[in-house]
Amino acid sequence: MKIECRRFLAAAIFLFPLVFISTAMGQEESALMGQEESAFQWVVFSDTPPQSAMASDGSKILVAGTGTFEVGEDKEVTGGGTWATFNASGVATGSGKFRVTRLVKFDLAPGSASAQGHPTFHAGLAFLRIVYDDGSKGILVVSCNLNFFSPGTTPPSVPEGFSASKGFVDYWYGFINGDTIFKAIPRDRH
Amino acid sequence: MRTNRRWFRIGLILLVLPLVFVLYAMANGDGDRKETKYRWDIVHISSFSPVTANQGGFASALANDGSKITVTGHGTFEPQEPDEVTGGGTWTTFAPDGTTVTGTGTYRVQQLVRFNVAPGVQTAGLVDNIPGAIGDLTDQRAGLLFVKIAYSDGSKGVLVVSCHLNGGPDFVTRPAAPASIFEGITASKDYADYWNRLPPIGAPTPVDGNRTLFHILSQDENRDRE
Repeated sequence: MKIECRRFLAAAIFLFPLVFISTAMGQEESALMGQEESAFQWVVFSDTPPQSAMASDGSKILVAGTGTFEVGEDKEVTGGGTWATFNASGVATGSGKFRVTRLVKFDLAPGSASAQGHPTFHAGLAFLRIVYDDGSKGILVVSCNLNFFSPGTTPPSVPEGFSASKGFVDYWYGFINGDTIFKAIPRDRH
Repeated sequence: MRTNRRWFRIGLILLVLPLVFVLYAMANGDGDRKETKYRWDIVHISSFSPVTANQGGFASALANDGSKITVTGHGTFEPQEPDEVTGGGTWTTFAPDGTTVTGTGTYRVQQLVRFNVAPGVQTAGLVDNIPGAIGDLTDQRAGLLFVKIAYSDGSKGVLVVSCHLNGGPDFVTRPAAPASIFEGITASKDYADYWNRLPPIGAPTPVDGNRTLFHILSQDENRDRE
């Protein structure tokens, strides 16, 4: 019996580091889960009138689109959408499609739409690298505020809408008539 | 003996020829790798007559709720090497009342996200005191820069620096940058986007602030144009 105890103790000591390792791994997993979902779908809705952002001279870009990204995996992106530009007089200067090439940065913001039956909706701010089909490149900034669903849950510093750059032009005056969402993608689907 | 010499020559050629090729390729490679280097500045205008640009200015932007971020700073970057960045500055955030300070500290640039150089030249007569500047204004550039930054309080963000060069006084020989280019900065700090840039105040009573500059420090600029 004494031998059994000794064996048990030896096994316990031997297995002790394993317990530490598995705990650490579990914590790491929890940390990842701390962001709960790490993959998201972004949507800039195709509204009427379309969502727009303005440059300093009053020229305008219209954007609508959707795609996915994975936090921590900058190249794991999909999606894109349509764009159209207009000069300050409202004359069309270009249109086409764009696609997302990389996630630059994403930050989740507080906010909830669970009470309205949308537990996967999130507020946040995403910077995405995009390529326009006319060869130019830019940054699409998508921001979502969930106060429409639950007033007061998202800080008022978080805007709703988008802004976009195209080449050296920044259509920075966005977030005018915004309609966006970030939707968590279940783990088994990414 | 003659055969030996012949084989010696062939062997020498076989050994030396690839070496020459490799050295040639390396020399060309070095040439290609000669990166364009730029400096960005949030500038301080110490005089408006003549306009005198120095490093150490400030620029601000508002968030949706009227809260404000004010930053100072400068740094360098290479468009083809996103990690080859230097610089940073200071930041201060204000509550929507405009006066209550909600945070302050320093920030540093972590990575270049994107840079587009734009057409346009600086107004003749400007005195350029930015360190590293040639002084004749030929090294100034308009453009749009996105860099990732890390704030000293642990938060992170994206700083956007946009520079519009005014051109003139003869706009035929010294054209301005396109009017679509804004002058100033915007910045994000975690999920808050200070997207609404404050414009510089010009004539008739110009005020220091919200002005930026890009300087080209080394060449191969054509690779950065789109």
